Order: sequence, then structure tokens, then C-alpha cells
Amino acid sequence: MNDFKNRIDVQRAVLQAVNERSWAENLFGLSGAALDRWEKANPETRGGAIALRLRALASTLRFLANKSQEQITEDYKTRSLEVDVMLRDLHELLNSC
Amino acid sequence: MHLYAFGSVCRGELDLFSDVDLLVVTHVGVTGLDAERFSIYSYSRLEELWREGNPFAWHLHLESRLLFSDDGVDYLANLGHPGRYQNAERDCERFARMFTESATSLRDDRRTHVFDLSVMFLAIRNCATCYSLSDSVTVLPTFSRHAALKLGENSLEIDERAYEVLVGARLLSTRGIGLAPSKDDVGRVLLAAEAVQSWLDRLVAQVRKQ
Repeated sequence: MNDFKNRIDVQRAVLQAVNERSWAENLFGLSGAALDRWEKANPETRGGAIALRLRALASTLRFLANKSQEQITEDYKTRSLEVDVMLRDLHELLNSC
Repeated sequence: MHLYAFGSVCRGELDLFSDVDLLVVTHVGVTGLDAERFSIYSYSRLEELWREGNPFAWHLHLESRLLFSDDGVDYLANLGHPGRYQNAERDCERFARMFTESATSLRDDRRTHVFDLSVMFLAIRNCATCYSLSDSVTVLPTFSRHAALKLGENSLEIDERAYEVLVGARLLSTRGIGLAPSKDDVGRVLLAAEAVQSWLDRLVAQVRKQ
């Protein structure tokens, strides 16, 4: 996962997974502000496992966005691979709650 | 370290939803800055963008304002003109495809409406900016949020409400502000999508001729 389109696709996949469930308000994006709004609209999520996983995933995507054109470092490669794992974890968590 | 303002505040395009875009140029490895609040680039990466003639380099070259320099030098000014922008065709094609895929998702999947609208708007705006950079004869480079409406005779013609919905979705998805679009709003954008796609395809065709 190493370019702009892939990051869009990942974000879409995350939102599809999260919004499969019924919420008072859906999640509209993975920016910090969008996540803040979602937690506020759905107080039961605040500080919970799903919210934490989403914020961690969003942070990794931001790191990759900042570094995507930089010299590819080991850290970048590692974080790239992490995204797939984080997505799987999120799916499992959403399915188990 | 060098700190610059760029974006709408430097163009004087202020509205209720304006924020201040800030560029931090620093050495690789410096951490501790919030990547959501700042655009953080290393000196070497910026010089690479300058050589490539990347649209972001042109944006900074034409519009940024120095706020702080720890060595008394305006680093970006000293870089001079960026290289010629050579990837307009590739970039415009990419954004046209992004629009198509997001419009399809908007049509088929209720779960990601706001995000799809947001990406459709991003594609429209970015394609317009890339086009404006490639055509130095008939249009000035524009980095405005509303770049698609500022291309002279090649400006996007779109239902006003549909455009508002796209802009609103971008703000909602990225900054968490505003109201979610209604079903009617989504319907209006879907009705307008074919015409927008045609406009994107025309820009791509024009860029190919250059």
C-alpha cells in the first residue's frame, strides 16, 4: 500500500466496515476532526476499542501520506504492511462487538 | 527550520470555513509536530518537488508567505522557479479516474456517501489545478478550493446546489463541520455526475494535445 489511490481505497474500506453498523451518525472520514465528531455523536464509542483502533489506523495513514514521496525507509515499509493488519483487526473487532 | 503560510489565507479567500495552511520545512528526523495541523516537509524533499515542477512546489512558489526563518533566509524564495510541470496528463487522468470510482461508489454504497462526495470534490479541484498549471496561455494557475470554477471558458458548469453539496461534503469529511447531505442532495450530485465526468474528460483531452 504505497500511493495516494491506495490510501483513498483504504479509507473507503474502513468507512464501509464501520458504517455497516447502525450509528446515531455515520463516520464521515478519518481525519481527527471527523473522528471527534463521530465519537461525540455516538458517545458509547468514546475512548473505546473501536475508536482507538480507528485513530491508530488514521495516524498510520497520515504518516504514510507525509512520507509517500520521501525516500522509502524501513519504517515506511513496516507501517505500510501494518495497515493491512490493522484493517483485519478492525473487521474482527467490529464483528465481535 | 522555516515556517510558511500558504493556501486561501494568502489569496485573501476567507470564508466561514477558512483555516490557515502552514508549511514547516525541517530536517529529516525532526518529530513532535502534529501532521494534521502542519504540512511537514524536509529540505531535500522540497528540493526534489522543485526539480520535478510538482504542483505543490508551484503553489508554494506563487503563493506562500514566510512566517519564520531560523537563519534569516527565505528558503523557498532562494529555490527560484520550480521546474516545468510535466505530469499534467498523468495527474489529470488519475483525478478523472478517482472521480469515476467515487461516483460509482456513491451510486452503489450508502455507507460511504460523505466520503465519496468528498473525494469527488477533491478530484474536481485537483484536476482543475493541474490543468491550470499545464495551460499557461489561456488561464492563470489557480490553487483555489474553487479552481474548477476559475478556468475561464473551460470552467466547470454544474448545478449550484450539487456543487455546494460537494464542497460541504469535503468540509464534513476533513474537518467534521456542517450537515450531512440529504438523499435529495446525493441525488442531485448523481444527476450532475455525468456532466462533470464529461468536463474532466475534456480537460484530459486538452492536456494531451499540449
